[in-house]
Amino acid sequence: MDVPVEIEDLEIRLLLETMLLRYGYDFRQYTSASLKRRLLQCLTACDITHISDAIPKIIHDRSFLDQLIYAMSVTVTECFRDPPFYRLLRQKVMPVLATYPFINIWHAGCATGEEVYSMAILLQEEGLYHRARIFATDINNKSLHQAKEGIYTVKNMEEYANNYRATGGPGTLADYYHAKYDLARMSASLKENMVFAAHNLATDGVFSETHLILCRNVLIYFNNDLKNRALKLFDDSLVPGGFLCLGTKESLQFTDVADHFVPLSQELRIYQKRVPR
Amino acid sequence: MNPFSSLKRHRLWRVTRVALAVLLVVGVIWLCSRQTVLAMASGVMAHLVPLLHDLWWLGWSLATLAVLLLALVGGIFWWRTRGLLADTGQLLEASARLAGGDMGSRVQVASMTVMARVGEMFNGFAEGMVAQQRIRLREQQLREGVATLHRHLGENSDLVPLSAAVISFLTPFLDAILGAFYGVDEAGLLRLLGSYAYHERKTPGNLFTPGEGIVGQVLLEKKYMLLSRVPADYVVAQSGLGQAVPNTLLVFPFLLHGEVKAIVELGTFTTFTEHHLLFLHSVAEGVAMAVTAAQSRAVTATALAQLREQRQTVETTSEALRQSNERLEEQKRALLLSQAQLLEQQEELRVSNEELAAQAQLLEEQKQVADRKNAELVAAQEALRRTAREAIPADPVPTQPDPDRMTAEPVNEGAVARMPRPERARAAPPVRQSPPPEVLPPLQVAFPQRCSQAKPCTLLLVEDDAHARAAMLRLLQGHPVRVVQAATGAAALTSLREQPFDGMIVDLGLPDIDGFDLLDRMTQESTLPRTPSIVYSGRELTREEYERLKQHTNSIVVKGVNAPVRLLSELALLLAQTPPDPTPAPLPDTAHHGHMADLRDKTVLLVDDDVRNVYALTRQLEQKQLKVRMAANGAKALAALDQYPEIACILMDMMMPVMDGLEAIRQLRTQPRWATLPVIALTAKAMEEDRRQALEAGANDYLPKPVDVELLLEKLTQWMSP
Repeated sequence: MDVPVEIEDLEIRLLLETMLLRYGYDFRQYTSASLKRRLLQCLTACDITHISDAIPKIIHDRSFLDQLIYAMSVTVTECFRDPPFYRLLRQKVMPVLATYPFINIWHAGCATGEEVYSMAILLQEEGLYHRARIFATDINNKSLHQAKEGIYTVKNMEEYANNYRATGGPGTLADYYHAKYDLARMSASLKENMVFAAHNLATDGVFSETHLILCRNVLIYFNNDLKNRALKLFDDSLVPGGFLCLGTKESLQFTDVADHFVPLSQELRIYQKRVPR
Repeated sequence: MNPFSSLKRHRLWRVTRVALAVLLVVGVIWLCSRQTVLAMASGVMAHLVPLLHDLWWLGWSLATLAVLLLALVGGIFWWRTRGLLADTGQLLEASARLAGGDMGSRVQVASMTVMARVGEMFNGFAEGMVAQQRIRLREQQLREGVATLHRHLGENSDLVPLSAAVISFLTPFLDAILGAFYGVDEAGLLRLLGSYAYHERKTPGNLFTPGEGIVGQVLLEKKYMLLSRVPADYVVAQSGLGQAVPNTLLVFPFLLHGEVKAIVELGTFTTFTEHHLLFLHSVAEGVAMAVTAAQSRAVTATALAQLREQRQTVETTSEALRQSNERLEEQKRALLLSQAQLLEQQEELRVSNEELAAQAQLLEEQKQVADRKNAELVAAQEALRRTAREAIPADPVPTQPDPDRMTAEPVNEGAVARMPRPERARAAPPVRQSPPPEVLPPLQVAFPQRCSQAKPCTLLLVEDDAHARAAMLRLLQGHPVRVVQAATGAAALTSLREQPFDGMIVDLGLPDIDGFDLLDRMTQESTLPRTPSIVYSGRELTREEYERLKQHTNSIVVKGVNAPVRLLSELALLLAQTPPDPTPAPLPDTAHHGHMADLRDKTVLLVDDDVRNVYALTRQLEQKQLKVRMAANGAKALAALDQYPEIACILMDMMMPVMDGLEAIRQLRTQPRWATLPVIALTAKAMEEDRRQALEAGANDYLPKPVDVELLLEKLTQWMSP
């Protein structure tokens, strides 16, 4: 390894330590390659040449930190992403959830919220939304704010309509938003039972008992320790028989909680929490 | 001044002195000759007496003569001096008049030559004075004119008022009766800008090209023109009294750096003098400069207005640009983002590609195996068919297995038949043609080891509907449980009093007592052992009902398609979690926690929507003899505070629907009656900042979730101690 790379790694370590010491955000365990890529992209966009130049800015400028976290933690999301997954939720998970008088759903790492609204739509169509509550959390206040707004582009929504159809939805996606110019605002009725809150899987604890947890495409950025921590939170939060849904590239295999869950679908990464003996 | 001092030098005096000298010489000579005669007769005394007589006579006559002479001289002198004095007086008077300002004062001397010359000199001097004063006056007029004109030039910055002011001044000042003022515009044309008593001219129009008419000619030649005998129809001066044609015209160009900037045309009944021309020459440059300045100001003003307009346009455009720039920026950010996402997706794709390749290979292998088997099967079928044909030639045997049977879904709905789901119109066929995901069977329900077929766990089933009871019995068939049935609440209570149960399943809609009341009574009846229960009901619950039920029951299962499966797993959980505990809950160990005595009978408000947390905490706090009130969100907490004034401390969760903890704390702190009420924030958030936020909102302390009860009791003691 040549010298500049070493310096860069050192700078990143210092930067992550700064974020932890100043604000308590612990990104030290995020897998380094993707983190570095995102970090460098963000810093380049801010005209910062050396990573260490960002450290004083982080210390004194909270908004810059948010920007950085946004860049580092942002995930790809869309409405009804992976239609087969939502199809299975509709067919197999919703009937089980229907047996609970009240349903708590935790969407960890909700990003800009498209999937939160997808879940609300699903629940509404299954007649369960009035007794459901969706806790949508993310580390990033900025994307959380966007999720709360529930405003997306009409163009995207039209693309999502295909996803929706593929999940076997009885209506059309357009029933759930109001388009104005090139923007689409999600129906207010979908927002009724949503609670948006900042939550850091790396440091924060369990806040509620839940029946279904979605944490899709978040754990891929975590190293094993962090991944196990997050999964332990989910395990603690879920009721026995509750469901945990991960992203297609994530798996419970080789994790600490692997034997606490049984897969409902290995392929679509839907797991059900075992009833302890 | 002595008028006589000058007389000494006069010619008259000199004549007088010469005459006296001659007289003296003649007298001496005459006297000498008389002495000679006396000497000749000296010897003769006789002649002495007549000589003496002669001497006396001579003396006397001489004296007489002298007196006569003196009288004569004095007379002449007096006569002459009298005229001189009169002349001198006249001269003095004239001088005084002249000094007094009477320029017409002159002297008339007639007496003596010398005074006449003095008078002439005085008169010449006075004439000179008058002439000089006239020049001075003209110069002063000129200066004043120039000053006035320049004042006009300075006061008017716009071209037209400037022209009007110039011509209105120039015309009367130069004793003209009409005047016109032309400016040379940027196109080099003469434009009539202002006029004075100007009525009509032979050439109509206000615009002249170089060389056109007299003014055009002047513009070309850059020299003034003075025309006498103007044609009668050339131009007419207008006044209130009538019209007249001037007989002299002056067209004068105003030059600046050798270029004509403006031209004035003046007409008079008399004539223009060189003073007029001199004046025009002296102001020419100033006027030209003023006109040029006004013109360039006008140009500048126009340009400025254009500039302002352009700037506004530019501002509008730049605003639009800025907006589109922002949009571009946003798009750029989005692009950057999607680039990052693309990279990720690429990576994902690469991985799944590899997986796909592996799967494809596997499939290929399987296919080969299947083909082989198929070939074998076909061969076997062929053999079978041959055998069959040989046996029963008329009866056809299906050659292919039934496809429906091949793809039958695995049965995973448990013992109860699947209820038909309402048909749904599918808007479009699924977009992705992926094979249906393999769905594994649901959770395997494993009952705890303490329940065995040999020693089954006992279960009380409280259900009024016989069909439902039968279905439940079928469901539990084969599991290590012994079921006691009760169709009413009363029967259930009786059974509970008779024997302990490991668990019970309760329907809410009972004919005699409501399920809620049944559970309430079970709790209140202290002699009854605590029996863990599952509520199994098709009834839709409100939050309040749910919270009430949750105080007495382990879980609630809503009847429906998947309910039986879940009921089994809940049952397994219930039986596994709660080993039978025949003795009631032990009293709090007050010896160990001596300080806890302070907390006895105090009321705590627990604000949290997480039911699990609420009941776990409530149970533990109630074991310590604390009274617990509950509220599911901030708004309900405020209502509870109003209703129960005995509340001595609040445990406030942060993340709640409707009104979160921070907001609730802030609101209750606005009321003086709750200003000092201890509030302990419960937060799942570990960050210093979140805790600081809670404290800033008005919390006294905070505890991380999940709550450590020992720590909580410590904090409660600390905050509720008097």
